[in-house]
Amino acid sequence: MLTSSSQTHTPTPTTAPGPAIIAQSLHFRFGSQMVLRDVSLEVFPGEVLAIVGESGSGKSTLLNLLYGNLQPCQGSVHAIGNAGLQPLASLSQQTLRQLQRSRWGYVCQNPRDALRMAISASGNIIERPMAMGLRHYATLRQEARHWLEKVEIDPARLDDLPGTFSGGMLQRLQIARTLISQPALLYLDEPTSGLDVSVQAALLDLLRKLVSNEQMAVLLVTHDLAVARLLAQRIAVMRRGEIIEAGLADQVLDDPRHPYTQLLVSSVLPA
Amino acid sequence: MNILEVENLGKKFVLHLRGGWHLPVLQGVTFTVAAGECVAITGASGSGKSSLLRTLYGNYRSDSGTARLRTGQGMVDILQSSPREILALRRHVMAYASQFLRVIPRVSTLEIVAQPLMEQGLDQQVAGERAAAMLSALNLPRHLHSLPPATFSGGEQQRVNLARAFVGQHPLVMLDEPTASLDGDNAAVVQKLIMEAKHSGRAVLGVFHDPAMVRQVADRQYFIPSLSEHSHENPGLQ
Repeated sequence: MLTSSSQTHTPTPTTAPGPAIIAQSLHFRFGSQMVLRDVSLEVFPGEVLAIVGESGSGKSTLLNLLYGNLQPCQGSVHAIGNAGLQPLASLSQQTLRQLQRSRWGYVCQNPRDALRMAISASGNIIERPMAMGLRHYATLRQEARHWLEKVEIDPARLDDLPGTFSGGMLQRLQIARTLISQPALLYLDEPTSGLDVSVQAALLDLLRKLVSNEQMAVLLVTHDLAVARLLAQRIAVMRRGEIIEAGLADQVLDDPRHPYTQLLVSSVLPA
Repeated sequence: MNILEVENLGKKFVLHLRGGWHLPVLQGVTFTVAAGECVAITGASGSGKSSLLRTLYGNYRSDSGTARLRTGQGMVDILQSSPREILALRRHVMAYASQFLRVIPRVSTLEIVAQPLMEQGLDQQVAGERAAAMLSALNLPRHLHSLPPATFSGGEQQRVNLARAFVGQHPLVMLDEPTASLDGDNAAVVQKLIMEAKHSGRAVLGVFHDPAMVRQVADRQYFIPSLSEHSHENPGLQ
């Protein structure tokens, strides 16, 4: 007997929660130039959607629209707030900032843009909980230590300034700082670009685990198809401001249909 | 009771980088696999055996036909399912072992094999124990379980792939040349796993390079029909 169970599994119906973000027919222009054209997408809790495409395809603009930093000239974004999905256009700046801090998280490519370089690692990590009103210092410090361990940074570095950290450690610090508030919706903008491959592998592994454990809905912008394959269940391919192909990650990468996706996939150098 | 009913499935690749060359791979594929049955897909090299498995697993898209899979909610057409639905089918209903393992950096062998169980909702400890038992059954000793399989031999990687496909007890298991890189002892283990799957009422669909294996495990063979001439329309061939 090789296997422990001899009965056939029947699929269990799951009461599926709704999407954490829905974008409908987004259009955006800089001056007379159309930067995004008719972009629609949705992401569910526990799901990673990768938005891939070369630079200039509109990926980062799209992420900024989805995060509420830019307003579409047409179309709408509904994202998870304190009372279910909320249309971003109806939120005040103050409510939007509050949601960005408490319910969402944003990890940008360059951790120096997000971190406060003049305060300690622990100060960076506990900034969000403090902004949300937590004041018990010993608990916060314990929490900071816990998150440093989670992102595989030696807790002995708790009081060090970020300036003494390597690039990979800085990115891990940014991730700890972002994830401590357990965001329901996570935005990742090229989170591993510019890192050494060994550091990149460790970081991807870390992100993969955190995302699946915390059941976050994740929007991942990357130009790296291998990163998309590793982290994402679904992929949307962008070109010149439009989603030209979308589907299951392995399907889009192994059986691309659009000429541009075929070009992208075939242009990757095998290691 | 059929687990899988494939009817008139067709698949072609359109190679845009080759001037829109149409490359038909499957046409009119029609067969069923019943519970407790193993069906072997046969056909000449290049006849689309692997592509058929990939299409049924949702890894390739199809152009025509249906592929109905039995689920707790009745028959579901894989070819019409959304990405999220396909992921749910992969979690609970169908498993697939390709010829090659896609290695993820830093992830241990045990974790790779336990993952389908965790996705089915088992807790980490139970999933780990079952994964370890399955790996050991496939002659991958415990001291290898904590290592990422990147440095393993082809045969060892193939066994990790097979452990992953069998561990979740999916009602349909699809195997692409499962014993191609295995020695006789390990091929015998795979044979035993297939027989056990059949006895527990699950269905197995396989491509086997070894005719002896087909005789031992398969109840029926399905010969992939050859593509008819008129399907070769190649606008890009100037």
